[in-house]
Amino acid sequence: MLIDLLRLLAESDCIHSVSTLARDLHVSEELVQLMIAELTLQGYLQSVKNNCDYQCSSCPARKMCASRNTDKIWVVTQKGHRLINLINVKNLG
Amino acid sequence: MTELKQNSSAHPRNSITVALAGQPNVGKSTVFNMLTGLNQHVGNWPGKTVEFKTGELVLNETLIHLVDLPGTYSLTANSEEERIARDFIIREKPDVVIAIVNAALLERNLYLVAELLALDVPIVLGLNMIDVANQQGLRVEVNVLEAALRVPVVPIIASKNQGLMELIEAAQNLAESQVPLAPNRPDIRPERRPVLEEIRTLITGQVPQPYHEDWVALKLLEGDSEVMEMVERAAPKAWPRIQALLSQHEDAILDITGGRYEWIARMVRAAVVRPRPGPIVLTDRLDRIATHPFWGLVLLLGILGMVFWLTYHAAMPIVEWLDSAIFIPLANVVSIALANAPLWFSSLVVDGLIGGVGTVLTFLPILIVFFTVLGILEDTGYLARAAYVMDRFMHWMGLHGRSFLPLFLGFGCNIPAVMGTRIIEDRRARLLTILLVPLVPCTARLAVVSFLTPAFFGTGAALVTWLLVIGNLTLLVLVGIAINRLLFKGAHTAFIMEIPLYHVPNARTIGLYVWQNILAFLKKAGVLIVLISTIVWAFSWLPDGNVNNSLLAGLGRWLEPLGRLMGLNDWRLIVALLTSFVAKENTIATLGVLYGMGEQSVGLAARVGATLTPAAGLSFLVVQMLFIPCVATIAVIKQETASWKWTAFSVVLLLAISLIVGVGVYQLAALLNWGM
Repeated sequence: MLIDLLRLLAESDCIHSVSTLARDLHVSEELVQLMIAELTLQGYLQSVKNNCDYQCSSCPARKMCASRNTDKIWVVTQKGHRLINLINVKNLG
Repeated sequence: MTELKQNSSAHPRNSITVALAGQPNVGKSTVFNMLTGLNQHVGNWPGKTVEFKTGELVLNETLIHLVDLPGTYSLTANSEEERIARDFIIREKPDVVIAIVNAALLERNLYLVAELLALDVPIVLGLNMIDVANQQGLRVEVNVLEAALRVPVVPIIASKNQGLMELIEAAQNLAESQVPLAPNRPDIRPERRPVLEEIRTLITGQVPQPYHEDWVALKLLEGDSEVMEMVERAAPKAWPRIQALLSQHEDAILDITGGRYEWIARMVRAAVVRPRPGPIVLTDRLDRIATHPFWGLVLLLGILGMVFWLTYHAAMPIVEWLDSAIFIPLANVVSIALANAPLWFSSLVVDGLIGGVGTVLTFLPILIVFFTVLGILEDTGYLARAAYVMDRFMHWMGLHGRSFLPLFLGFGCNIPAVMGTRIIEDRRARLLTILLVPLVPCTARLAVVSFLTPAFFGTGAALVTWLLVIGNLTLLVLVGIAINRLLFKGAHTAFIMEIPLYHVPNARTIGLYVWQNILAFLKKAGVLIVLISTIVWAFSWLPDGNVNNSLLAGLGRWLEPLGRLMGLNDWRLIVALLTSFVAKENTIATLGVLYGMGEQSVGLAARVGATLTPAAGLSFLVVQMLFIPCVATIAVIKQETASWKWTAFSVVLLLAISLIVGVGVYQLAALLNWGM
């Protein structure tokens, strides 16, 4: 199921919400969140929010920033893309 | 459910050991305390800093040694607590493990149960907090869950001492039962079974007691570092082959943990009835429109239009009042008061400071409206939907999915937007996003345009401002498409965005947000805009005190031929555009200085409006919207690109775009004989 989630993300090119992923995988949103956490822990997904937090600390306009960056966002890492490519190659073979 | 009463006076005939396992905050300690009462011993696990709690109780003439294992999310050797918990179960072999789970968070808690089942130990599931689950509208079918798991399941409310007797009795019965265990365990994908079997064969007879070979093989495939070290020591001959297999199947962990999630999904699907609570239904209904490919866009444009409507109906009357009732009378009073002061000093205070900084301060109400709306949209959870809707347009541009995030930040301020491009790994994609950021109109740019548009377009100002923003974004898409065709090669990346539930905005949160941003604006006005207003005044005064002979007029007139192509026959407008390079608000400050405050009866916008035709006014607004970003943004572009070449390219690109579009708009109007 984790591979299915990773494949869904690696092979698409749009924004997914937790609720649409839950619908696509026929599981609950809670489970999708757990799987996202697992994939992040394993290095296949990366939380973008942490990077933003890091950036803000060195941003000269942080005191007048109109955006608060509160959304949680994850992207597939190169490790994640490599894995899905590898699986696809194996499947083709 | 019956309440537990300890019976420590009975004389036990036999004894069993029961371990209590569970994730943190599931009520495990409450269960332990309720079951053992005062008969407990607290210490540390040998050689560890983790608390070790044991206790005793007598039930049906059986002495039960209860061990409270540390709270853990899983049984992988990620933490000391996890190692202690699994080592205790493997080495001490308790007769039964009671797994306490939170019924309201069953999916989260069942992961540990999935790992416990792999240890081949008798398990009783203590389904705690069923009252909380019921309050949340969740109904856990205990019998169904029991049948699905094929382990005893006992509903309990530990905090109310309910069901604990049944729980411990179930553990005792299981310990004394002779029936072989056959729980429903998570599966591993069929394609991984051969490798698991091969590893199992390689370690057969070599795994130290009391480790179970099936479990060790599974943990090896999962990449458990502690188990790998153990097997390397215990089976040195087989280790190279095992290692080779593990490196070939490095990703097997995803299949194993994925199998556990599939198992959890099956259990929950079978046993949990989940009526949809109100907020989710409301969110779903609203999202049918807000995230719809067409209606979502209509809503987004509608909201944008509403912002400008609100600006002109709520903020502009206050702006005009501040200008006519505060700053113009103030300039007149100060002018009279300084009648005997040197002329340059009077001019500096009246034209330079009141005319420059004062005028900028008048558009404070516009900023309050912008920040309030932005704060409300974010606090209600709408902004995440806007990002979702805009994703399609990012595809048209061929932009990397991550590029959307910094571009969206640009509406607040271009500086954090440029900084935000750090999330883009690909250098070319990052550079191109940086180039596009200044085409997103920031709050300061929007405030300037909102301030001036009514002077040219009267009641149509809201519509014109709205169209200007749409025009900027359309141009951004077109430039994005062009850049993509040349360099980007259509690379796309998906991402997950957690879209929050809608909720009623909190007035305090929004108030604080608006206040922080307004305070920052006032500080900027107090330092940077005062400085620039003074410099602009100085250059408009020198050398002889006549603005028409000033150094600034010389510069403005030198650029006038270019301005005439856009209908800008007044050099003061060109100078105002140039000073916006320092900060966007300086356009207003400069106009305030150059159009003078003394002895005026109408506001600045009206005075500027009187000098321009609507076509020239529109051209001026277009250039203002597209002009090169402020110097702070350019400094950040230099910092982030680490290249003077790209920084210069950004400035030249935007200068060219703004002038070409500005000239184009005016010439088109002339061709159509509109607003001339």
